[in-house]
Amino acid sequence: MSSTEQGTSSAAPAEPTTAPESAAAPEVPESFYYVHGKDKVVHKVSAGALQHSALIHGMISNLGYTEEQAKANPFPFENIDGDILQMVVDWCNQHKGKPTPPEDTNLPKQKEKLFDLVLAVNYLEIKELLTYCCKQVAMMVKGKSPEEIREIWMIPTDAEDEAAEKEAKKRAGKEAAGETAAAAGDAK
Amino acid sequence: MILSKYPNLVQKEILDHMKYPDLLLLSFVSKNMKKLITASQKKRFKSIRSIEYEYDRVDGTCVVYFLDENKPLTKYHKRSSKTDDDMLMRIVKLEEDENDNFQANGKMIDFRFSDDYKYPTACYVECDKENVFQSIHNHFLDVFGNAIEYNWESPGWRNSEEFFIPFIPKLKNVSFCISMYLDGHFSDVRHFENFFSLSPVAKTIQLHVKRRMGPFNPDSKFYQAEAIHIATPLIHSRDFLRHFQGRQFSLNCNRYEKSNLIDFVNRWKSGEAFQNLEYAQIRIIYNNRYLHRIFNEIGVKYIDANRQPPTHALRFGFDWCYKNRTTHPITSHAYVVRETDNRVASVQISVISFLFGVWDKTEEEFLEMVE
Repeated sequence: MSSTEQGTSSAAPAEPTTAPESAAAPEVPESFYYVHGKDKVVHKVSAGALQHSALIHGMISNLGYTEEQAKANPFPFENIDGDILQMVVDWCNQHKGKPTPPEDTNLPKQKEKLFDLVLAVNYLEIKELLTYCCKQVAMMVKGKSPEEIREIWMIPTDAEDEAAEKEAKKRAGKEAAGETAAAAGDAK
Repeated sequence: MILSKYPNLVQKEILDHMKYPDLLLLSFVSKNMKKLITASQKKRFKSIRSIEYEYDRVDGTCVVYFLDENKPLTKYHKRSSKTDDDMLMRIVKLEEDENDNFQANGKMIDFRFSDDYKYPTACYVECDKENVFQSIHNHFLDVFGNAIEYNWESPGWRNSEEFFIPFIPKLKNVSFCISMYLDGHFSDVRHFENFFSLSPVAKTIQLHVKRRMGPFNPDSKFYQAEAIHIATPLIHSRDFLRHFQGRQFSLNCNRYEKSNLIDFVNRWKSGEAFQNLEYAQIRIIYNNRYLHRIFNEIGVKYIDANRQPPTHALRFGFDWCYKNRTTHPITSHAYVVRETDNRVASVQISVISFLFGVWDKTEEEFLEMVE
């Protein structure tokens, strides 16, 4: 794996001094973990920022990695594009230890990016960010006609749904027939 | 972006963030979308108190409102406080020849949008009006379910002769609520009778009597309404209570004969009439002195004066604007019993009012409630 440790401008890996909770709490050295997406670019993220993700939080809570071990074992999220993972990491860093605001206006405006972000956020179980994203997706069709909604969300017509259903049934029938034939062959 | 590629929970959350008018439009996109909305938004739709059609007879426009339980109740204390935010859609008579058709329950319907894109507008041509209303209503039933109240509200029937034949489409599960002024056109009993013979049985009728009228047909659908409120403060009008067959009756009148009041209670007690009655309230402005002696003449029984009687109150059925009001609470030691089924009605009088609240209890069960 090409391990390019990355601290982006917006996603500057959390410095203990900038973490708000460290101001009041006794000084505890912050632990860091490493994640990478499909592009193998590794992002260093603090445990505090990763708390937003129920999935990752569950994975790291009992690991007790040292810094070296964490660096050597980045969490691979091969199903998430690098730029999308970057957005997620940025968001987690920006909202580390802070109450989440009611709105988030920094989400991508492009449909495809937002679509991928929703899937990633749902997979990583980041509840608040998922809520923002879903709101944004819902806003895309506000005040649109049924035909415009169909285009934006690529919703098939009834005829297309029926054709797809027929096709799926046909395929399922064929597969079942194939399995029966294979089982009969095995029996012989 | 392909919505169906999202996991079900994500699709649900997206729909959770959509407003009702947008969900309604989404439901027109395909049958599968309608199914998804129905299945995923069941819990949310439970908070819809009612869907209300307000039809304007003059221009044929119908505004459809949804009243949400989760909104502060004060929002609905007056009809005028229903805002654009509470609108689900408008249904208007088509004047131009533009088309943007969508299918609702097998019917192609022309949709437009309000200028601010807050709510959709469906259009109809006069000859197809009934069909359009029925298709849209059936679509509402499919999407929002039939557990919520659907009301067709028709306020302010007065002098408008040219519009006196009611347009009330035959819609499943819809209650008809009407307010009417008995003067001008409707002071002619034939017009009044004709109106009700052409209308479905009403849920609520508010009647403002401004002129004396001849007798109504005792079998008129008017008397079958679930709740009737009559205001006749200036006219000594006829005994509207005598033939009433519904559940709640309220009369605010100039005078009311003592013999009529005694007759009412006796006919209830004997089981001869008023079997469905739950509540009656008669407010008499003049010649009401007999009220304080009426108990002796209607044969009331009394709860022990040292004990606390239960309070009778029901959801107020007279006024469709005041959804959460109850009837005037009756806490009285006096009660009467119906001979046929031993049911009890609490009776209360004040200086100008006679209140009658029927319990769903036998005398024995009623007395068990006394503290």
